[in-house]
Amino acid sequence: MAEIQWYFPNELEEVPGILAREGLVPHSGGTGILWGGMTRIRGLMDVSRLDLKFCRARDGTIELGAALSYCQAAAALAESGHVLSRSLSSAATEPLRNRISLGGSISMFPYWSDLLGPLLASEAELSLEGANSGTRALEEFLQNRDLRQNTLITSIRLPDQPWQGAYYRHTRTTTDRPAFSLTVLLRRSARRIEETRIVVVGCSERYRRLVGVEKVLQGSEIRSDPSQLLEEAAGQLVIDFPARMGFSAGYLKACAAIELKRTIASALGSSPASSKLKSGRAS
Amino acid sequence: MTGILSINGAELRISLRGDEVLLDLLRNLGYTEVKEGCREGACGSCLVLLEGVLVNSCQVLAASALGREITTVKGLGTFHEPHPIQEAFVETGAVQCGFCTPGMVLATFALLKKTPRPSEEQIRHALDGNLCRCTGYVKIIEAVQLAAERMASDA
Amino acid sequence: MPKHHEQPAYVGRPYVGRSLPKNDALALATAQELFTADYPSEGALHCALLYSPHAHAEIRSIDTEAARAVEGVVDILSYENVPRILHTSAGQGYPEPSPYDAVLFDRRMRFAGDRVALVAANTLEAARKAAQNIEVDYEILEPLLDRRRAMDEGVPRLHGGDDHAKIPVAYEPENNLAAEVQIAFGELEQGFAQAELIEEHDYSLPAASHCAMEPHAALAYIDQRGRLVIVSTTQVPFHARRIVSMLIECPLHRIRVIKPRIGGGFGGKQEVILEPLVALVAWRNKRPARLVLSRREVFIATRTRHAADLHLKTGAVKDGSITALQMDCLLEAGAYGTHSLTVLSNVGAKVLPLFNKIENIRFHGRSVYTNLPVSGAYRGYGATQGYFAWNQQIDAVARWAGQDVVEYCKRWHIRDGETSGVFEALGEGKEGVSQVVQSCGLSECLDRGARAIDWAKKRDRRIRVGEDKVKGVGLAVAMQGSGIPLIDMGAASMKMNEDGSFNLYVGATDIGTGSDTILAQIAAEVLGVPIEKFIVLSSDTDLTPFDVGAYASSTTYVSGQAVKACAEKIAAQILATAAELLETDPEKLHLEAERACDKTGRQSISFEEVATSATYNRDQYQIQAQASYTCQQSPPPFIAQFAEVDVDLKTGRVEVVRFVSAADCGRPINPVLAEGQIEGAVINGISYALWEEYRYDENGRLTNPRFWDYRIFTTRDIPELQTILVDSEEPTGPFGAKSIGEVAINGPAPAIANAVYDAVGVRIRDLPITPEKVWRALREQSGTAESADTTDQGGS
Repeated sequence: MAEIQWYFPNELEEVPGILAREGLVPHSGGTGILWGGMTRIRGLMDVSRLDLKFCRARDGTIELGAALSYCQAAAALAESGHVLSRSLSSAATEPLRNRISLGGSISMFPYWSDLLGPLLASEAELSLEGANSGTRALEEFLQNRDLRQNTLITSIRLPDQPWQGAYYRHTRTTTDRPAFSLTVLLRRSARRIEETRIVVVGCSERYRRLVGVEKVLQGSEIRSDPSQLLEEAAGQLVIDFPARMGFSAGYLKACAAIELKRTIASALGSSPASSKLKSGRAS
Repeated sequence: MTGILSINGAELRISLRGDEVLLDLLRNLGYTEVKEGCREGACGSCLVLLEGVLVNSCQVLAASALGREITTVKGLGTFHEPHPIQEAFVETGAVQCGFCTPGMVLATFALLKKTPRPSEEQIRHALDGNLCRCTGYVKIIEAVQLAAERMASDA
Repeated sequence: MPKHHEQPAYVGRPYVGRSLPKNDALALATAQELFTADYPSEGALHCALLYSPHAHAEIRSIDTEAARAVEGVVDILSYENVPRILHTSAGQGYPEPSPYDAVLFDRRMRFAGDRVALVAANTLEAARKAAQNIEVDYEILEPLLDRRRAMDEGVPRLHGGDDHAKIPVAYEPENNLAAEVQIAFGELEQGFAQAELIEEHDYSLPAASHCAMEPHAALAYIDQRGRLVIVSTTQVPFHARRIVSMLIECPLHRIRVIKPRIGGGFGGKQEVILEPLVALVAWRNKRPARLVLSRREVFIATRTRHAADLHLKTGAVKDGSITALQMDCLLEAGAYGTHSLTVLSNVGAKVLPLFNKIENIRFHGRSVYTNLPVSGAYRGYGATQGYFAWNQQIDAVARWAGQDVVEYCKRWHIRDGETSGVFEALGEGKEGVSQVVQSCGLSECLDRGARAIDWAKKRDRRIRVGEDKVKGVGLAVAMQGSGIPLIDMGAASMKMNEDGSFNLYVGATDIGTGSDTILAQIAAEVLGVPIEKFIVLSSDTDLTPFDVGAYASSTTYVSGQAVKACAEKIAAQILATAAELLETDPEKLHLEAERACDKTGRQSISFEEVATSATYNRDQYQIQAQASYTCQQSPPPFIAQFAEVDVDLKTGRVEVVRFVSAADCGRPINPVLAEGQIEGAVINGISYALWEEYRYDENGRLTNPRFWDYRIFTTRDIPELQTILVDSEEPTGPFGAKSIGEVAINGPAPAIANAVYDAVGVRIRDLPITPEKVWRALREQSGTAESADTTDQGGS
């Protein structure tokens, strides 16, 4: 096997030329690359010298540099209470959270990602460089394999909105990857659920936005005992899981319904995210 | 390829392969305090600080560490001048076989730098990438608390 | 975690009973100490192994041409060039009670992971590459993957031919029987006939990995005098020396085995697996050899806990008395029978004596071969399997009798001055040794543990926690042993240096347990000298006297007594020399604060002066002594363990919220180290109870040989742990000590199972107690079980 070539671009302008080469992929933390095995890789483009570890809030949008690690992104969002901060803090283990990058995780798109649920629920957008430069919706990026070739994710944008949220990950031990995860975002007035976005990641289709469940909740009155509403909402959940991690498909399905109710209840009880983003640059 | 690595303050010019993993590079250079326990980023025996950040060296491609500062447990303290964290581990009985200890010490160091007075919850969270099969973690958590106490009073 | 450790009050002893830091702790914390894989390996041949991908196969031919063509390859070992010498890899006393059914390289592959060949090369990369390039022509055979069918007619046979047992025990390889044990007392059927309650149930436990953080490794080199030196991650250096000598046909006196720091063993390193391989490579090529296993290899190709099926039948009458107890056990040896007889014996031997008033007992066990990874020694060693079943039966009987199980256990357990026929009936491959229990603090363990967990407030209350969770508490009791009576021997030697310090040489094997320290504490106590003045050197077959090694919870009790006796001889020599120098009689002197003094204190002389005089000045001799000890009995440590669980009624998830262990280990030589043993064993036990299991595919391949899919507890999983050391004094133990290395792993699984029953009324009798199993049981209980079969449990 020929030696792997490394490239260390200093400017974004260099990126398309490097990524146009065969077998070249971006390297941020590298955990996804090591996971996937390196047999088909001819070269790695390390992004650490590009300015991709920023986080800023501007004009109602939070923009996160794609090279931010889970820990860095979680820390930047911690004060705001955004559900993404919670999901990233609970992912994997501390040294892995220090190394898994947002961009790397999106590119890899594993069923166990703790990043994708909150991003999909937030209807996030990606800024891309390379073969497919421009802005794309995250969903579009995930659905279209071609968009991932010879392409670098430079940043992730999500609306800076005071959503309430809750996140659930279904694991064996605590530091396990999730067999599935649930993200519930909602916006409420004093008495009503105005809007909600609910995403499951890890189902048979890899992920799904639970539109049917959202429809039940949207516009509904919030009672002190929401159990009837939750029951009705969960009734809209038609989903399948593969057997995985020692759990049978039927059990995962049952748990999804139970935990969906609990996660919605938790979201109802949570505080709205604030704009207290720790803007700046991580190293 | 070749490049410079700074390890515990010493600069080394090294040659390495593009697919070489930092753990192997360090051990081949003689830094055997960085241990291999699983090679899948689960056990924490291979932890180092990379620019002060706690990472599994078995999950880092060495080329990406070129030009950067690496700290192993021997960069924190030595047998003759141990770090207070190492002393705390000794005193509380947190060292049984000692194989996980270098990683635990580094994880503790990284935690206390960010959070000098951690809660037990924060300690558990910060050390969740360090497996230990000997101690059940009980005395390790006590060691971190003792180290935090001592270092806070020294500060 | 707040310090909950309750310490018994000890009579003031300066060294024993003190929680002194381990004498290697600082060197380990600063990574000054070397583990086997840390030793310099310049010029060494790096070894890589090729394993069979098939669970059952015969190698028709091996073609190593392409492998040899890889640059840097120096040697390739296989059945073609390595003599076929039958042996057991089990690290046990000789003659071993395990069958001689293995050779280093066979043509017959008996599990997916069995050894095909070894490549030795100048670099590890070359060795691995060459191993991949070895072409093997396999004739694939039908595998036997179901232990319950192992003795049926017509199933594949794994062994036969010249495989044999070394000692006269039941061994029928033609029937896939690796071991069989039977004992009976009284009239079992009569006992059942009398019973008003019959509880008869099946239990099962899976194979598990020790998960010591340090993978197995071994080095070998030829020293300047042409002797073979082996450094390895061994719990049994002396057994390793003997077995290597036999396998490479090199005289034992030309071999030296050194144990460096070891990163945990838990029984997984009580095997001689890698040592003969590196020895062979070094011997053949006259170059150092190095073999370090990957974690994957440790999972697949070292050893596991014996998977087990148990069938227990208990008969009881209204007042709770058990009228009959029948215990049948099927252990899965896997491909080879190491430890299969002895683990099997212990299922009965360590469980049945605990309630010694049961008159009608039958124990019948079998270990069978299957084409799966090899079982071996694992902390608990059969007692763990037995107690998982037994404690659930006891819980059920006590409930039926309307009694609190804590009181029930207090009533029925074996006591000081009592014995059990099982001690004599069940040894390790032969008859056991009768003994009378001389220290038993189990009732106090039960009382204090129950108080600590608030048993009375939680038991049978099904306290609701939040909306969907219910709380339960459960108990398990257990005993183990301290060494194997009349078999385990440990020895110590000491010499005194002119500055009043001592070299202490012990064969005893510190695998992280701190035995180097507690043995120094024992010597320190005898001589009244701080432990810093003891230079401990352990487990070097050239320099230290013999010891069986770190297993059977023998180190404190057996090796400790050897050290004590040795130190006492040293004390006598010091007194004799001091008396000469002070011109008095030795009987008039005693040792105190590193001096020999008379009663008044006016006449005294320092250790330093005594030693200097003996070394250089007058009637010179080396103050030195040695002593051996073979335990005559195996005084059991006792433990009462309590689990508090919150069970999620909707999902079946079991969260262990608190866990209390109250243990009687005799007088702990070092309380903090004793607690550490308990805490580590408990977390291992809880993790095994809830999540650990080996999973195989339909071809007998292990699907989860990584931490990714074999989950063990981290800091974020552990419950609140409390450890209580109950005061007890064993008259036959060194300063009253027994042992603590294993017993604490026996309680977690049954205590949790009993707690789940307390919470939600379902009994899970097969490990692990996964949420899905509890969920299914709850649905069955409430009649909402679906008919659809959703039993497929996904793999990775």
